[in-house]
Amino acid sequence: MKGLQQFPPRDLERLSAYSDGRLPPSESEVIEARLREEPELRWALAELKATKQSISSLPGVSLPRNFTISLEMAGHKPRPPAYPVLRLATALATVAFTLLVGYDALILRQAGAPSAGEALRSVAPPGLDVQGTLAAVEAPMEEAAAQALGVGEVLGATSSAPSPFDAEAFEPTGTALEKLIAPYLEDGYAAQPTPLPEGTQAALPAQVPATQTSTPPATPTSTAAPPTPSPIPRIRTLLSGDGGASFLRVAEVALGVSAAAFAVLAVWARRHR
Amino acid sequence: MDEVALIHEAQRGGLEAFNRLVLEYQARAFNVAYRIMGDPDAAADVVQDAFVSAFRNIRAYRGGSFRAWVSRIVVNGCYDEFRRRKRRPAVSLEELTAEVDGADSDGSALLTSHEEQPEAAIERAELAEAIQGCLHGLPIEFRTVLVLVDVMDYDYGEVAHVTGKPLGTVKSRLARGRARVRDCLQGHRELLATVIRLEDEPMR
Repeated sequence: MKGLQQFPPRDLERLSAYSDGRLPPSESEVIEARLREEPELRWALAELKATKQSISSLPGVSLPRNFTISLEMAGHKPRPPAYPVLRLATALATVAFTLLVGYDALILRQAGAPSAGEALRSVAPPGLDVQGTLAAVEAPMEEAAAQALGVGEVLGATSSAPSPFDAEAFEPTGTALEKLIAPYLEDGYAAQPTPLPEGTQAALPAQVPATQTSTPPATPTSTAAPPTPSPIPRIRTLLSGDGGASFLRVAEVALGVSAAAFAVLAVWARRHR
Repeated sequence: MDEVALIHEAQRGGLEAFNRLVLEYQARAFNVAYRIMGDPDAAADVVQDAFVSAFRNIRAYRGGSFRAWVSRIVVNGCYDEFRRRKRRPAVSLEELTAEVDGADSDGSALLTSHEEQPEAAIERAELAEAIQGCLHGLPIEFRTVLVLVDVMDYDYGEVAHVTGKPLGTVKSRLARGRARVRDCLQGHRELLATVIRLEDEPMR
């Protein structure tokens, strides 16, 4: 008999797969038909089966040792506990960011925003008596605001203020308030009118008189309580203006970026610890 | 804990869980490496490196047969070791063959039945040496397929996954490898007959 390697490779492959039961049924039928007629093919199949049996008879080999791996083998290095620190830093930065944004939105924006009257006047159609209506609404608000600031006595001095329905005497709320509390603020803070852009003053119609001249600045009466320094003006002074606003924006951005960066680092540290 | 849970734990960095998987698969991995390498020391090195590599890359495991995944790392380790030896042949092939032939008697103990007669055990050991020698004469790609299918009883699909070759290539290598081993074993027909006879007899 010749060697198995002299058989056509295709036949050998089919016989090998057939001996493993891995030949498709259609091909198995073909091989079985040929096996019935070709003794050499039967011989080759028997040799392949015997070879497979002998290889399968190879005994298992006992282990020379265990192959479990140690921390050093796995490349584990003790890492500093970065995750708890980063988590705390993320929380602190987030809280600080939230507080700062909240302060900015509630206090500074409120103080620096145009009054409702100004906004309404700017969009009202000509001929609508906006000023009279607004004055009726804003006068009680001024009183309430003045009382809230603890300068109720000052209201006596301003009782001679124009009637709320006197449209000519209307003032924006912010300006009137600042005049009322001007003596209690830091030097020159409230008395400083907000400068208008160049050309705006000239463009203002005559129906809106210069507010600074219509009502004299209120002065505290002799019976008024001595002024109590309030922290609000100082903070406003500190944070108002371009420098203060820029400082706030920079701080907000820095805290926001820090919170995000700490969060990313904390997630990374958690995954790699 | 079942295998899937152990794998998930190991993927989260659990070394203890991974070592339990090692205990489960180390015998199979070592036998594959030993039959491919023919050298117990080299096989041990390959298996150890394979398990370290498996732990470091276990996040890349995406399901399927974990046995095939581990075997693939072991087989690739064997290929790398052979390539390394080809580049720097520190030992001649004759010496290597002599080491392989003597390995079963000193390097690693073959698992034989304690109830087997001494004469039969000797014949079986001689045939094992002959078969191992014939396997070692095959190209490593053929040898790998034969070891996985005929020694370790993997199915064709697993072997295709382990070797990274198409199913047709696996079938072809298996058939040609068997034919070569059969022709190689012609010089040991008396041993072959003894083993086949012993296989057919019930274990005493």
